[in-house]
Amino acid sequence: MFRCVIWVLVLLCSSTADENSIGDADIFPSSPEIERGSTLKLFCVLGKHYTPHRNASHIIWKLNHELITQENYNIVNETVSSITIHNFTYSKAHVKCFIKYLGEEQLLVHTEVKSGFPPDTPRNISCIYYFDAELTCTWTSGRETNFRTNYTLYRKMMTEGRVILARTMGSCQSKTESCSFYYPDTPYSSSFCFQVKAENILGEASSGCVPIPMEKIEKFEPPEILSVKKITGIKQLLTVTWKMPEKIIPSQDLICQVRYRNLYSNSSEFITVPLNSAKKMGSCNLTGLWDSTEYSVAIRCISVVSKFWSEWSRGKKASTEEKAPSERVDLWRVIESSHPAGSRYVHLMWKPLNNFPPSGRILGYKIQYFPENNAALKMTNISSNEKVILLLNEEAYIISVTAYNSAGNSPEAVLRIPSADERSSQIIETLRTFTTNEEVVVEWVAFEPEVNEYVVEWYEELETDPFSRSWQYVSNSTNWKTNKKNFKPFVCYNISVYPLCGNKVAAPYSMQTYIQEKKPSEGPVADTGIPGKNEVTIKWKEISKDKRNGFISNYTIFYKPEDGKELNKTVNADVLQYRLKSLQPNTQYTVYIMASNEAGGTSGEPKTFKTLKFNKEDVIFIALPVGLSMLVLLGLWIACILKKHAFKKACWPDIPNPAESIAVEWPLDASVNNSFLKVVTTEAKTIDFEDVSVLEHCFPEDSQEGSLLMNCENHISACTDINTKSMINREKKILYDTEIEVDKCFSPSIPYIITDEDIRSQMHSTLIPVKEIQCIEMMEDGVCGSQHTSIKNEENDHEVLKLEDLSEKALFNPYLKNSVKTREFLISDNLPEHSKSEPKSQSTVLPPFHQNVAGQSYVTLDMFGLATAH
Amino acid sequence: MAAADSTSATLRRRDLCSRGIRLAGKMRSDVVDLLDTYVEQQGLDASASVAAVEGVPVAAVERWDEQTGTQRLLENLAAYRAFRALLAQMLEEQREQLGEADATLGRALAAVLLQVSAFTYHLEELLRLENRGPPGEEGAVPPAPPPLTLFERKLRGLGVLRELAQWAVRSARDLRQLAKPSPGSGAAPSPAESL
Repeated sequence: MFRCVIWVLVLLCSSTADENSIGDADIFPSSPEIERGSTLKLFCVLGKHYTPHRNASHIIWKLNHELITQENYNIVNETVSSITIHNFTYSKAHVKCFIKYLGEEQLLVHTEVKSGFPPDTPRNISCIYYFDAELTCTWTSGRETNFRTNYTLYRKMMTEGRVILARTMGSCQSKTESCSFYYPDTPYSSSFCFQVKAENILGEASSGCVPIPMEKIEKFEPPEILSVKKITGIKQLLTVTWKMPEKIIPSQDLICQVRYRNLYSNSSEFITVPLNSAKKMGSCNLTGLWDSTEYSVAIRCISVVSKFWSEWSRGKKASTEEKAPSERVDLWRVIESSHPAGSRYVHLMWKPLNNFPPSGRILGYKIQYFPENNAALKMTNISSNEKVILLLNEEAYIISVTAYNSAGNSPEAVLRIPSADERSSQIIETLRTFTTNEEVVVEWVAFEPEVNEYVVEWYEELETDPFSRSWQYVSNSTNWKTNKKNFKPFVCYNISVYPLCGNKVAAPYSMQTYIQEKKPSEGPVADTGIPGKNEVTIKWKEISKDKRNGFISNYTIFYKPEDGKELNKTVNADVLQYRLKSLQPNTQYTVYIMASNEAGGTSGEPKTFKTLKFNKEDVIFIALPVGLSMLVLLGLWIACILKKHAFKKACWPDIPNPAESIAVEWPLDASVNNSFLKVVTTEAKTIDFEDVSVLEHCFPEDSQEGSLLMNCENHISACTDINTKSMINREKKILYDTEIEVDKCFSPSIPYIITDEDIRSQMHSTLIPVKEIQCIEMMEDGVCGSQHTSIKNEENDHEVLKLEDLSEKALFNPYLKNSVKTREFLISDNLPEHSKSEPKSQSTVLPPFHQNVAGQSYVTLDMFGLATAH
Repeated sequence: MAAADSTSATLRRRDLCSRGIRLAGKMRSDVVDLLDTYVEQQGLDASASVAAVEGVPVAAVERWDEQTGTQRLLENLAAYRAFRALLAQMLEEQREQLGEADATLGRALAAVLLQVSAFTYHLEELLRLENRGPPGEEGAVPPAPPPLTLFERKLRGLGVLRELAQWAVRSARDLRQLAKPSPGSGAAPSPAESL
């Protein structure tokens, strides 16, 4: 409730206060509007609230925010102060009245002042009369007045060329530069004049009354087209019929204008038809039109005395009659290479008829073809497309194509397809292409100048569809120009020129070209291969065709050693590898390839490689001397080994010890039981148990007999070898294997001594008796006998000789015991009797023994025990 | 000088006559349209015969071709002044009868009224050209009609409009006659020139 009371009081206070009055004061005149440049005078009246402490002398004035000088003030009385501003030029400004008391300014009241101009005389009055609908007049009002201006349009009657003011036929009001009378206030008179009066707060101005006869400004509704027809049997003609608008002055002369435009043209043609409005209908014939062409027709009319045409009627379309196509189609073909069966595909294509004006709507195409030497085999195809594929055999064919419409057929376009094996002569000598600013030019030179028709064919290199090819016939010229827009830039085109001899197509001259080049889209990738010490072979592949963007003119190989200067080599476009020489050894290089065409070059990704420290020659030069040295040393060492005894004999000859001579202790038994054998036996017991074990281990039972002969032979051979002290590995192995065989076949062990060859030669005569004895003993054993026979059958006499040597070795010279290794075998109790009676010691060869050699036989403790238990 | 003035006056007369013919044609067209609207709006039969209405000038005249130009103009002027008053009266009656409900008929009546007024001014202009100022309008004001029933008023209005249409035709013929080289001659117009 209290709030409502407060709000009521506030509203009352605000409603009673002047909107310009802030304090208890008033200003007048309020919101004055004056002529620009005139003098403004305002009064400020103080209310009783301010008296008696303050009076008009405390009033100050401001224009917008600027203080007005005191000399413009005028104290009218104690409560009224006035201000005078000369030559007020502000279009709009605020004048404020303040009271200044004790140094403080307080706004009392303010007002807005506008200045402007009185209206100018309206000029350029013009009117248009929309028949029986609207009469609109427009004018120009002159300069901006800055005040709201009202306009009054007067329509007056004129008599004898003078305006009769009393006979004003009407008026209309407007705040703009236009005003309209509307039906029915649209009387039709030729005696009207129009006058405009403009007025604002500062004054008014009237134009003269401008005579505007209605008939001169009347504008009809547009006529209506009833029909646009062709007349059957009459070509290139259309008949247009229209109806005049309903609202029109009867019996007046009119002009109607027919506008017609064919769909292939951007420009229209006009014909004018005079008629009288007494006729409600109009018609006319449009002649000289194109065949089979659609036309759009519109009409407008005007009174012969008016200056305003009606609007165009709504358009109507119709087509003229067709006629048979008068031109042959533009025919071309692409022949695929022959298939093995002799057939081939021929791609026929043709361009739509472009004769102008066109003959009519093409309904289809008739394709006829037959072998050149047999016209009876004519085939006919009908196509609605502008291409067809024919499968022909290897014969030459004649192909014709005609276009047809409802009125008939076009002339035939004929081409001859050569036989598959036919080779036509080369008529064109040279061909070149170049471009100008806007055009691509193809020029050629022909051997036979009588040829006067050519076909220029062009297509993108990567395009495989024959129907995408473009072609154009060229007559009586050996050059052809076309707009660059027919070619894509940066694409390789195949351009061919085919000479035409009648319907025969001769061999073409072809070339490739770029209309515009740009640098390749990518560069080649370098393949460094295996670098050498001072050279490397760089290989790369061609850029794919779609990324060349031009003819590659060369490749440049850039290579740069680590921390070195970049070098480059340029090679022709047909070079795809290059050997970089004079490289620094053991250095890392970076290499990349740049492919260039006319427009620039593009580099591929860089690759790195490192040259070798040594090349093969270096390795050979180093390794060869070393190897040779090694071989020489090895040879020397082997020679030393082989000729050890010779050297030893030469350098340190053996001197027989007379004290140990056995010459006085003959026969053999004595020598067998002498100390020499004992010594050997003693030594064998302590050293060579493992050899026994090796022999047993190496021969399985089942193969023992089969290998016996060979083993015996080997044993003999081995014995010989032992005598010669030769340490050949293969023989060593055989010796391992034969020892046990010998153990068996000569069991019980027969003491025999192998002496050096030279000793044997010395002792040969002495040993013969021993040999004989030994043979007798050996013959007691069948095995030994067979072995002996087998040995004799050996082809190698040398082996036989060895056997003999072996027999000879059965006897030895006790003086040589220190040069022979002997072994005493432990004989088992279950051996045959004769064996048991034999001496239990055997002289044998010590196989070379290598410790820790894989696969080497060794003697276990068990075996040792077995051997020693007997 | 006099010949020049005569030629100028002749051209001026032809011009005014030509415009007058156009106005007459426009007026006739408007009146014909108005008749259709009037018959329809007032519920009358278009073929209904209407007896001669008092105060309405009759277009038909005997020996039309013998009239002088000034005579033609004066008769026309008198007729159209009468029609102007009759139409104004009809418009008032129509407004009283239908108020603003039927704007179409009222607008059409107002348009024809204005057109008749404009043609009247045009005839006055022609009379001035004939060195004959238009007569005062006092005699042209038709007498106050006797009290009529609504139907009688409708029939009277129909008669006024039919006669106005006839006068439009006659006015065009009169003006075409005036436009001929010998102004005021009584030569009959050719059939092609008739409306």
